[in-house]
Amino acid sequence: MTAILDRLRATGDGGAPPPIRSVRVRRWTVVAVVAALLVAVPVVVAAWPVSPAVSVSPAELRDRVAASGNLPWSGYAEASGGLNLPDVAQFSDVTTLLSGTSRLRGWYAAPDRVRVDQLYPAGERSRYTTSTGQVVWDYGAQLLTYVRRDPLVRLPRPDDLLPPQLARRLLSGTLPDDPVTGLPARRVAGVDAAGFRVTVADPRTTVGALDVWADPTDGLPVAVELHTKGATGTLSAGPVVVTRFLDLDRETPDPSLFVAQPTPGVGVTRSPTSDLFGVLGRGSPDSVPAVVDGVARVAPQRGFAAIGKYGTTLSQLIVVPLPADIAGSLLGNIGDAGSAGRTIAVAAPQNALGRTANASAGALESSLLRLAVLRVGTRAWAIGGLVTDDVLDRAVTDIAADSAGAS
Amino acid sequence: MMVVELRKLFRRPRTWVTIGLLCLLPAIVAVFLATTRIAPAPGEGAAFLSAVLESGSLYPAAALALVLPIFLPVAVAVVAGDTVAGESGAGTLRYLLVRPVSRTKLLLAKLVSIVAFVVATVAAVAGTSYVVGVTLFGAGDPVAVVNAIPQISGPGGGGSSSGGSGGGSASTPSAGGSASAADPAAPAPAAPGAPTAGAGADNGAPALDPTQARERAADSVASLSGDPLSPMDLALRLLGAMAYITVSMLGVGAIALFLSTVTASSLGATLGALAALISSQVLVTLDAAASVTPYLPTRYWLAWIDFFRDPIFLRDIRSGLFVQAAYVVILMLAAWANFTTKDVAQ
Repeated sequence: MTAILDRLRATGDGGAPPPIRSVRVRRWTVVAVVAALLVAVPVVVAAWPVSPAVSVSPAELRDRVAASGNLPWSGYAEASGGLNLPDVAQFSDVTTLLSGTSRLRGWYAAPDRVRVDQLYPAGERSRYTTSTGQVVWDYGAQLLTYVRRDPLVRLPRPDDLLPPQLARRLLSGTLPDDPVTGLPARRVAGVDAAGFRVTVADPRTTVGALDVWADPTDGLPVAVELHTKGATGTLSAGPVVVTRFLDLDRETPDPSLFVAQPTPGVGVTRSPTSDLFGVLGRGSPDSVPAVVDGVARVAPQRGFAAIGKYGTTLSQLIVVPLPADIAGSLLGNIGDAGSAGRTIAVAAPQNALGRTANASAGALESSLLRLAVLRVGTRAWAIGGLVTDDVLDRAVTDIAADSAGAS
Repeated sequence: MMVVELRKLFRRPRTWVTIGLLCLLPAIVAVFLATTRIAPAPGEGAAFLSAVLESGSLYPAAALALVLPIFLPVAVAVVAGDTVAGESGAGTLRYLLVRPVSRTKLLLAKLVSIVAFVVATVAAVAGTSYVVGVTLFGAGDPVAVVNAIPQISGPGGGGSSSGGSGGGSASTPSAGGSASAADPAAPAPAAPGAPTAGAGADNGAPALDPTQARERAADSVASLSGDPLSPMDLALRLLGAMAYITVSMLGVGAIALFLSTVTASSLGATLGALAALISSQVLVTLDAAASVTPYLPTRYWLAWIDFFRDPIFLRDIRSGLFVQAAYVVILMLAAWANFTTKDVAQ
């Protein structure tokens, strides 16, 4: 090596050494060329033309994505949310998830054989989905929790942000009539992915468009971007949620990866549910109204009768009863949230005895997700969804009115 | 030439003082932890510091996490910044160059001595912290851990010995059982064969008192992903982490070595390298600088922690190796272009 470098001292006329100045220039040129080559490698790789293996129409690709639930994969993805939600103690996991970047490792063999690790600089939270339930490992708490069941309607979790999960979940909320257009292909985690955009026509939802890039051969989503829309229906300039694979392996993962192995000495416990809605939703089915904002309630899931789900599209509203003390704390937090918090005027309803109950309501605002808290006397509810302010306000009014009739 | 440089490096008292000081910090932290038994909460403070009270065999990892952010790069910058500029400042460089050895070889010998210093320092920190950790916190006994698994997670077990998880301990046996039943094809952690294997490995193990076994099992080590790490597995991962940290320091060394060929002041070279590192650290935390972040020398420094995930997460480790290699190649070439064409007056 040193001999090669030394040979760069070229001989001049008659074997006399060249002026040191020219040697210096030549050697610094070598440095510059090597540096330029090293810097150019990632640039060239990124700029290499993308050519999807097969050509499919956007509508066909959408159908393939929707039917990709049984495709195995493993990989690493990063998901970024730009909702800038304030940190509200009771929902800190959700606000953090949608307001920052999540680093996710996933292994997927089938819908009931999934493992997702959320990586932290010096820790990890893992969730194993099996046919009999879920197992959650929290390095921070040094606790392994065997979870029996979470409700279908639940708070967002990190594993929801993996591209395949997010794409299928959001696409299931769009309508067949929503326009689908093609997007330029992208190379994502080594996959030359074809893209399509579904523009959401429903004026009740804040979701404006859903951009999905997927492997055109089988429809596995590799990147998803979510755009909101304004009051006039114009799309946001940039996506508010972005998730994409950075590493992807299409082989079926090793089965041993789907088994949580408790280390002796760590805490092990069991829980009927790992979701806040799973706890709040165990009350009476009459805890929430039959109709909200003109939308009838979808039949509740067995075991979670108190969770109200209104609609099946992206504009669906979720209503869950809250303990009054938690509602009071939440309303206080919303009041402290500055521009992200909003007070909703709600008419105090009269009960059957003609008495007027105290009523207050507030909402946590973001461009995508909206969450309201309503308290009427000793009863309270949380109302949330990817819906506009109008829808949320009408829902709050309806529930307040219904509470008067029910009490 | 290389032997001469290595001998010169390791005969200097200041080299050993530097290594000694680097070993001292983890020892001081260990003494405080062992005395007070107050560890930072898991996931907070330096990596792995929360787990060392349960097993001292993990203390080398915690010690490396303690010295990596500041002390180790400062030490490397001091040594590397002194390599050429120190000779120049002391007036010995021209005598060094009189010898029939090319400047390129001299530069490579300097680089090798920096690598040797980093290897020696990382090994010394890990070695002394292992001794300190095991002495002060104890180490898990692998055979006892294997034997104790059925007593903890299998039918008839008395529950976890962890006092903090008392509420969940009663449900632990069935929870472990349900996990095994959920996936009969996969190897179960509490497989019935485990005690047999353990008994075969150690004749004294079956006579182990159950309570004692549970207490010793509590000393075992969990990976960041929650899976138990065998002592051999832990040792291999530690070696991997040490090797990665060594490579991570080469970028700093190369920056300081290049600056050392530019200036006659070793202090100037050291401070220049540290200024580059601090700038890199600031930019790494800045979202607005995301486009250049992957190319910064400190971007992947913490990827050594990924050796302790299960399976090992290689993505950032791989990227870190590439980045360090690029810095070493470019800066060593720059040092070569400068040093071999420099008019040495001192």
